[in-house]
Amino acid sequence: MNEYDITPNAQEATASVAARPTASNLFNLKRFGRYCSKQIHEWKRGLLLQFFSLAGIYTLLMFLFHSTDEKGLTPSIASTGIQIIIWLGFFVYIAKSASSLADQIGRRSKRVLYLVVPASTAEKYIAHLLWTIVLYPILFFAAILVAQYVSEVASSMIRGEAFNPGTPLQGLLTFWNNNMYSTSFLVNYTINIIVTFTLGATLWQKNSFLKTIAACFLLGIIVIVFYTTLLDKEELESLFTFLVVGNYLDSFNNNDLVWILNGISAVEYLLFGYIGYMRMKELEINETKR
Amino acid sequence: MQFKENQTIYLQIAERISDEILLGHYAIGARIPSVREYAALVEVNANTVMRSYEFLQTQGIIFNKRGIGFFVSPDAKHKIKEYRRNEFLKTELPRFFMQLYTLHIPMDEIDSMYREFINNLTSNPSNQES
Amino acid sequence: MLQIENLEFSYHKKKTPIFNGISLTIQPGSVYGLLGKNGIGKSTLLYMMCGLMFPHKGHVTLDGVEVRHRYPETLEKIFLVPEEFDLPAISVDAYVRRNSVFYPHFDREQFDRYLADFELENVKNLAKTSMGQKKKYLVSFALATNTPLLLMDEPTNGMDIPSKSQFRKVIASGMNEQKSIVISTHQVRDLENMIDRIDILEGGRLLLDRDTADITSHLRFVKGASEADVEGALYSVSTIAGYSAILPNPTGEESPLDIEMLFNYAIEKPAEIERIFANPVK
Repeated sequence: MNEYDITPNAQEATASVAARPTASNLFNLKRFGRYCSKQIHEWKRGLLLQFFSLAGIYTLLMFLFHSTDEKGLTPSIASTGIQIIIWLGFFVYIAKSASSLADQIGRRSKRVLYLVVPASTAEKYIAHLLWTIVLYPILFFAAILVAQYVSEVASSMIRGEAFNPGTPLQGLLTFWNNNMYSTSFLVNYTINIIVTFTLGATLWQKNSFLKTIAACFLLGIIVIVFYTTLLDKEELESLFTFLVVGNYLDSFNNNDLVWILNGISAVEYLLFGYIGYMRMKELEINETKR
Repeated sequence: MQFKENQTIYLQIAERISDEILLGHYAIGARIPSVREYAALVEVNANTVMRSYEFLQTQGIIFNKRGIGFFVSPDAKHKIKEYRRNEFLKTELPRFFMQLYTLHIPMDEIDSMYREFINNLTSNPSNQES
Repeated sequence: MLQIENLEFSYHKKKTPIFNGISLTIQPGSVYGLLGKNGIGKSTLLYMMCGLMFPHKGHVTLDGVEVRHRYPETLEKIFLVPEEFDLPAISVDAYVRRNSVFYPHFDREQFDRYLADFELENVKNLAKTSMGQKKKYLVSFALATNTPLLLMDEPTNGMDIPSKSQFRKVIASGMNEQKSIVISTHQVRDLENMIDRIDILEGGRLLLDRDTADITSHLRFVKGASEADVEGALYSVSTIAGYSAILPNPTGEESPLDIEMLFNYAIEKPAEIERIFANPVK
């Protein structure tokens, strides 16, 4: 009468294995792959929509700012104005994407199905980080690439300007190699934003994006107030500086300072990332809030 | 399936299967639907249908071939009628007698009425039960 | 097998607890009907059974593992059909392909059969279907995963009348001895004859946790009876067709269980129910 093959023996075997948090219960590459594939397919429509909106917005922006460029000498995308717009947009987009975790776990009707998928918390959490670090940036720059050429074609056709598309994504990274920045800053900022906004999403599910920004501002103000108060008391200030960067600051060159800051950031990522993970692990359905 | 209000479900299902056997829906020796198929058909819990099948089995109306399913016994029709006859004599008849007794209807009157009924039935074959 | 031991829970520390020492064992091969008034905590109990909410005291374990850890090996043995949920904007086919891989005993043929039973089509976008339709898709998927434990929260809510009948058919054909199904509902008529164990949640406790056969061996349910027939009834209501009543059952004669009447009786006279069913099952 039974058409299935759940033998009692097989069930006992899994039970005895599952009694402890085995490695497979924490992370399993095959299952992780399945989870990623599930998400990407379920979001296909949404991601396509994002891609076309981004491409559209940037085509329009590049088209509008095209004429401010020296005619025909530098491609539109390489102008500082456009580059600032692109990088600013990139950070906002990445932050929004990191915050999108809140959409998956915000409403109860979504959270329930998110939590019961048989993948571990680590797999779900790492999948989210992977999307924000790899998928969304690729999507963003693909949209920029499309915008770069479409806007060039549009300007040359509508305004009759010289057609000079330049190389793909021309000069975008050189923006970060200018005197005051380095590319490590870009990586640092990006990861920082992802980790911070992901943590924000686990802390607040409603208006997570805005609340995280507000929290960052608040934190910034506290640090500034703290530091300016210290500035009045020189001894304290030097003690504080000593604690944070050591007294051998003078012996470091600019490059070393960058790496010290990156090191401090790395500790911050780990801390924020860990808190975010623990929040996800302890996530429940809150029956009182519908 | 509409269930009667005062009889347990499993017996009603057993009755239904018996009717279906009498009507020839399931031939002698043929396999009847699996418990789950029948449960889906009548929208009843499979455990209840299992009880119906077990009941029919103890009555000798169906039999179980291990691993294959349930089959209609060779003398199923006879067994069904025998069961119904016993049930009638055991439960319906005492009620009938009680009515006769409380309404003071003499047995002779019933006897003549019964003969008339049988006469009607045999002279007019279209009335006859199959 | 799912085991609940001395579950305690309350939403606010000062308020009366939702659960005050609930113990329950879910055995394979049965359909459990979790009954209770609105807001009594039926959904909360279901969420705790699959690790979506954590008890304040006590344990919920599946095959000896605490479900609150939400280990994948636990989650792949449980399927929850929530009362309200969102499905992704993809086709039925894509949904099945991407989600079935998490369930080792998933059977595509069964799924297609349930879709046919529900008269559902392979739509292109699940997100655009109505709540009733979504439920039918998810119930079909849930049964086809063949998880040992299947939890359903008010599954017939939002279904039209033909769908409710189809639902019963699908449950009856999707059930087997390895599975246990827990259905929470306050619309007991929708599930009449489907349930073989009744769990009534009331006042933070399980007022009743018995097989239907066990209940009918203790209590006799009559319908369309005269006033004289229902003398000494434990509970009775007058209807157009006469009296419907619950009577003591000293002879152990079986009668068809009327879940709604039993539920009303239990809520009205909890102490009596507890007294009648005080003795453990023989």
